[in-house]
Amino acid sequence: MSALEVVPSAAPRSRRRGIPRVSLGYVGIAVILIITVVAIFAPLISPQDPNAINLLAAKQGPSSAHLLGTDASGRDLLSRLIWGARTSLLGPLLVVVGGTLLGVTVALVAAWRGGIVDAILGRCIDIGFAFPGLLLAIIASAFFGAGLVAPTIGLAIAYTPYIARLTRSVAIRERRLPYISALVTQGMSSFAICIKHLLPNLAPFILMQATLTFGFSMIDLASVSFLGLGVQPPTSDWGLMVSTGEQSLLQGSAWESLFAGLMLVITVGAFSTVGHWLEGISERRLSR
Amino acid sequence: MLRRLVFLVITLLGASIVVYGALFLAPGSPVAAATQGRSLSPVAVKLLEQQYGLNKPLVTRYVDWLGGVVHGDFGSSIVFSEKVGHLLTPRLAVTFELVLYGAVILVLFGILLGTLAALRGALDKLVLFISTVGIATPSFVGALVLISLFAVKLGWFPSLGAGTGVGGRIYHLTLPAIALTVAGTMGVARVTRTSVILELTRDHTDTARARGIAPGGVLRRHVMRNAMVPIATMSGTVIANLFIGTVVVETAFGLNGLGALLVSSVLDKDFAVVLAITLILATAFMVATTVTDLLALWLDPRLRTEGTR
Repeated sequence: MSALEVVPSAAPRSRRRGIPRVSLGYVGIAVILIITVVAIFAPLISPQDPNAINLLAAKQGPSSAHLLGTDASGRDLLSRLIWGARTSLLGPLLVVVGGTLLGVTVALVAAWRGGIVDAILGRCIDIGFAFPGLLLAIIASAFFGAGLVAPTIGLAIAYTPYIARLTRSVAIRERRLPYISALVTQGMSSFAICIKHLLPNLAPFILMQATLTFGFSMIDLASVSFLGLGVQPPTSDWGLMVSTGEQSLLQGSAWESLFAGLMLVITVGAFSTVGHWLEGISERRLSR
Repeated sequence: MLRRLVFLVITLLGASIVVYGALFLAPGSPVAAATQGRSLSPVAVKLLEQQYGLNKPLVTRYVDWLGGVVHGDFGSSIVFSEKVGHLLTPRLAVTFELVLYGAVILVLFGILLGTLAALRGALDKLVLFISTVGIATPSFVGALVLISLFAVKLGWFPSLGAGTGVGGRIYHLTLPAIALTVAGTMGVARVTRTSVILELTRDHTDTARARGIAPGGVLRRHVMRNAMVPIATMSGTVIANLFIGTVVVETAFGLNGLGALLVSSVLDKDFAVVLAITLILATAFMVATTVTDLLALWLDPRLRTEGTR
């Protein structure tokens, strides 16, 4: 999954479907905004306490009392989905922030210094590719114990080489532009040039990477939760809900797994649509 | 070629040092896992530590362990009180068969879907939509949808277990293999679609058509051969990732493979097993990636001169 982003996409997508792609990008942004608002205002929106157990009302289908039904302990599924948005978004956010900070720093140092520093960092990046994200997240769980923190750290480290490699190549191209040498001539310090000029110009590209990484790491973190190595019950989390719903599903009541799975697919789909949309925009800008 | 092999070995060594160090510095002692909460006399704890070599310094233990691995000895499981090798052998087959089955599905359907989307305009939008949903579907969600539909509702396939015999194994692994490859197949389909469309719009394809070559011939000899490099690279990368994906799918389907054992061993802090499986999966992943790189070089000789860095 994490490898999807390193494959070069050669064909000019815009030629065939320029207009629908743009509108799809806006749809994706709208979906992300709605889910984010829901996550932030979960205490206000959620109709019931997500952890209130009512064994008399267990495994119900959607009804007026419980709009999306209840789980095996009679907890309201809608409320759990709403609260679950918080943990499900927080994890990928931390992964993206951590991975981007690390990756962009490595990329800028490598691109700016060049030579031996670049070569050494390049080797480190190559070694980093040997660790698939999910495996690193699982090892981190073994190290720190199950929870949200461990797999998040593991994934942030796992995504760093991907972000670093791509950002480095764009940064090197940017560094060759005349305005950088002009700034050097004016006597501006390397650090200031990187922070004040190079970084803002790379920002759209970094944002695109971050959006795609968000989607991938959301799948990874949900997988870790599903395995029981991530967020622990009774916290509501979409990946965990798919897993706890499996027992009811085998007995013919699929609501919990279904809704939680659907939320994951919609959210990840929105992030990857926006990511590819931004990718298309920056490709067009570069080819100009 | 040789450089790549050396790099592979060095990276694996580095990986083993990091994982080994991390696992044994981790909080929570393996002895506690072995005794499962029963309190032991200090003498018994000493004995256990001696039996599993936990009382020696970390570096000595690592060197001992590495020496064992070179001879095919991964140490003993502290939970199963069995040689890790014995524990893994039967499970290795399940995992590798699952990946092989998945790889076949992935390559066949990915290329078929992608080519169809590129050639038939009417199907294009449908395939694009399906692939967007497919790529966004975590394997365990796909697994539960398949179980709920084909195992619980329709009863066509079993929902749990790996089956026996060749036919039974294929039958039992069908749903897991599909769940494992949903996202990857769609990824391959996308790359196939873009790369076939790119070749179709190139001049050499027009020339081939103008020379009066039948459409099938144009597609096979002129379009597909050129489109193959990105498709092969994508397929290889995705197949490499299947090894890691088995962890999730085996757990969802209750298969007795390496992945499912890895999860339970992490929970039990059975570090010898965690180490062995992590290294096997990481090795499989890296070998698959290296083979993919070599395959791309073989398919496109131009990369051979450019690629030397």
